[in-house]
Amino acid sequence: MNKIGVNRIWGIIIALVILITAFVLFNLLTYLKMDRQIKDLEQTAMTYNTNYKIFLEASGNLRDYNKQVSEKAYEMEELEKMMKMIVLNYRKNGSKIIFTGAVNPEQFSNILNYISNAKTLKINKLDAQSQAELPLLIGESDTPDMYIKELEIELIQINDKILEG
Amino acid sequence: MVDINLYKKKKPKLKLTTVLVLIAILLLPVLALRLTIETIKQTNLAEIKGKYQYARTYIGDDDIEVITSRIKSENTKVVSQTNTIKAEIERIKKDLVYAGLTSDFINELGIQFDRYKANEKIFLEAMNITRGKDFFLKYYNVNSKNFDNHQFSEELKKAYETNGLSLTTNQVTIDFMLVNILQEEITAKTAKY
Repeated sequence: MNKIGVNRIWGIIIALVILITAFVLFNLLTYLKMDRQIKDLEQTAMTYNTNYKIFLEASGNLRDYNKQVSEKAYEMEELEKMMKMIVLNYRKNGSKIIFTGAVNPEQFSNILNYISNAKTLKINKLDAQSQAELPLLIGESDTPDMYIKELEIELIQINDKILEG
Repeated sequence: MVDINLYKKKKPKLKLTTVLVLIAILLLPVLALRLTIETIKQTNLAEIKGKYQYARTYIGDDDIEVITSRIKSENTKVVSQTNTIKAEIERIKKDLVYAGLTSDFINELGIQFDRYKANEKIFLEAMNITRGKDFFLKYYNVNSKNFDNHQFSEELKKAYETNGLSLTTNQVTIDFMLVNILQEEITAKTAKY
């Protein structure tokens, strides 16, 4: 013991303390922090990857629907043409056609026939009533006119802003 | 002979150098390990980049916490966009189902009318189609007394039920001279669409 000396022992102890402190500060803590951050990053990246795949799938579905709907977008224009042809004064409000008034059976039948074959037109409202007291007219050959209190037909459309993302 | 120690004053200086060299030697493995950790970090980042192709764009040379925070922020945006798209898809699906429902409702009326118009007369009195409400139809089905039943009415109801519509009906039969008159009200349960 005397040979080594007290100072030298203190020196060794101090050196060991420096070594351990440096190891803990620069390696152990750094490694633990880095490991936690990497795990956190991997978890976040995995979640993002999964969510992005779901996003791509949903976007694809929406584009498919848009394709289907766009292919039939002419249905509204055709309906307008037909309504003009049978002289019905409709109002246009965005993607909606609104009509109120009396129609003869042929006009009414034309509208119903057209709507029954359309795939992208939805009837928001159709309130039609016969203009005559029917039981009295049953014996007659003529079919009475219909009064459309409210007819609102809307084209099914996808919001462009959502589609563009 | 006189014993003179020539290094008497140099001795403490030599001890300090020893301590410094010792400290440097001790710190060397620590620094080496620190470099190893940095290499491990880069390897892990490269692995994550390779594993998650969509997140790779956001993994750069920045601090891991900054990268994580950036990806989290992008994830929030993506989730929000996905929810908006899903809601839009659901809306479109519902609209298409509803459009199909109204088309079928009217189409069947036309089909059955064409089938029986030669033998029966059909007078539509009221029709009400409103989204979120039950569809309503009121008509008169007139046939000759030679026929027992009203084919138009029977077939129309069958067709509606085949199409999955749940119906409630209200009918009154009137005997009028040489004809049988059926006054019928059909309510289709469509409010859920």
